[in-house]
Amino acid sequence: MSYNGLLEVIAKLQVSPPFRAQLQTNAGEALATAELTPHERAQLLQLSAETLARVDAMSIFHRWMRVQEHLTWLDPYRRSHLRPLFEAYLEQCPPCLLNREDALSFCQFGEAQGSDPVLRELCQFERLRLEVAWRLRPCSPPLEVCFGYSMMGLTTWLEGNPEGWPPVSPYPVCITFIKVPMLPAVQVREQAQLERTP
Amino acid sequence: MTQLPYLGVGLSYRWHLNPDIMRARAAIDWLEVTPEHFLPLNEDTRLRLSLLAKRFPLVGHGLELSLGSPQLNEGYLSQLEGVLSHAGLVWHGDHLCLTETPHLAIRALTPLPMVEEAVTVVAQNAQRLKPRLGRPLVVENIAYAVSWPMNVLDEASFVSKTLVEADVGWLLDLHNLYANALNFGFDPYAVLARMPLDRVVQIHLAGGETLDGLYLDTHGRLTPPEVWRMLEYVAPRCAARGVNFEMDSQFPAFEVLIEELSHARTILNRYGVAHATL
Repeated sequence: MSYNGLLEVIAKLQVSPPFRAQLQTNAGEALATAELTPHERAQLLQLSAETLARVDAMSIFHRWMRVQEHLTWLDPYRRSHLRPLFEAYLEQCPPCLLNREDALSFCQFGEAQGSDPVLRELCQFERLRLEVAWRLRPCSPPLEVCFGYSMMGLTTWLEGNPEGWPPVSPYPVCITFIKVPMLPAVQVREQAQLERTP
Repeated sequence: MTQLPYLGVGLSYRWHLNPDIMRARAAIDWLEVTPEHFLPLNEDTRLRLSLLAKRFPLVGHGLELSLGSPQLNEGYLSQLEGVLSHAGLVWHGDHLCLTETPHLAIRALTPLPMVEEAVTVVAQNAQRLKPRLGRPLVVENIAYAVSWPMNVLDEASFVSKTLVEADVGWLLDLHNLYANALNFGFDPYAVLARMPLDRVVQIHLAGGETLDGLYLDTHGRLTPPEVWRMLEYVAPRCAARGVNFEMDSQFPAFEVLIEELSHARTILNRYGVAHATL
């Protein structure tokens, strides 16, 4: 038995949506380059559509749960607005070691690829929040960053509404990220740019 | 394994439970910490670990050893060693599964093919790991959503053989076994009857939910009644050194978590598990 070859196929099944799709449509070609014995190849060709659908559903669900642990608003099913970005993320970004790293990776992807400027800013805000909370960047003096939309307004709405996406109007703000000592948490202070004293 | 201290009933540590855990210290005997939640080790995470270790006995529960992989991830292992030694964990557990291969990172607890070669690989990895971890290694049976067509062993044979060949303790996750029994239609008590219960060091309790016809180990619900019955079955037959409740989401009032621990403690006390020797 080529145990290592078998594990590579199992791993690819878990992480590659295109590979799963190819196994359904043309299993022989999908496995053509895998280092398998003829017996193993024959067994893998027996993978049922139901099994592949389960792997597909579980891998998406698991990856979603990992990212959502740190980005509680990320629900691509009840917030259909987020689904294209999340699906593109699954296709293009491999999973990271830590759930937090996966959340950061999603934020970076959203900042770069998001078509909606509000979502891009939300991803940036969340990335900075996580980086400060987990001391992945210097915390003193507190980080201060300006945004074109109210992040507090948006995140408060998302916390209170498990479905949908709010209409958001431009509202320039400056946000200060203050590390909470001893816990991976951040205090966020938001001030409208117009209200700021020089 | 029975030379390990009896820890009693504990809770899986989640940082946002921290204030409640500190207030309810008298009702929580120990904490299970996930090393990944403290990586990278820095001034902040070291201090948090030290404070927890001052207040509770700690046990490790990792996610990324990938015991079925042909080679261990040295980068992860060195970070893990840092957490283990800093926090003085009593023992360390991880899962009987695959989370990466030399070419691909999966980062999900993926079922291994239940074949003899997997048993051998896990046993070899365990032998390499034991001296590096510096404390007993316990291995957990996982919940799985698919059964691979190349499996030649059933779950009872695969887990038993692996525990024995690797010569490790068993982190018996009763909820995982329950979930597999529901999804694949077998009797969990018949599996338990064939398992080396003398190797049980730790027992996990948790709850799950059904999505699209599949019962998932989501850690988002309280322990279901059947899993409590499974604990009643196992308690008089093992010398577990600790039982803990795992929850990751949809937390109820903290008092409800304490009631879960109290329920487990009642069962362990009824069977004198603290003084059991096998």
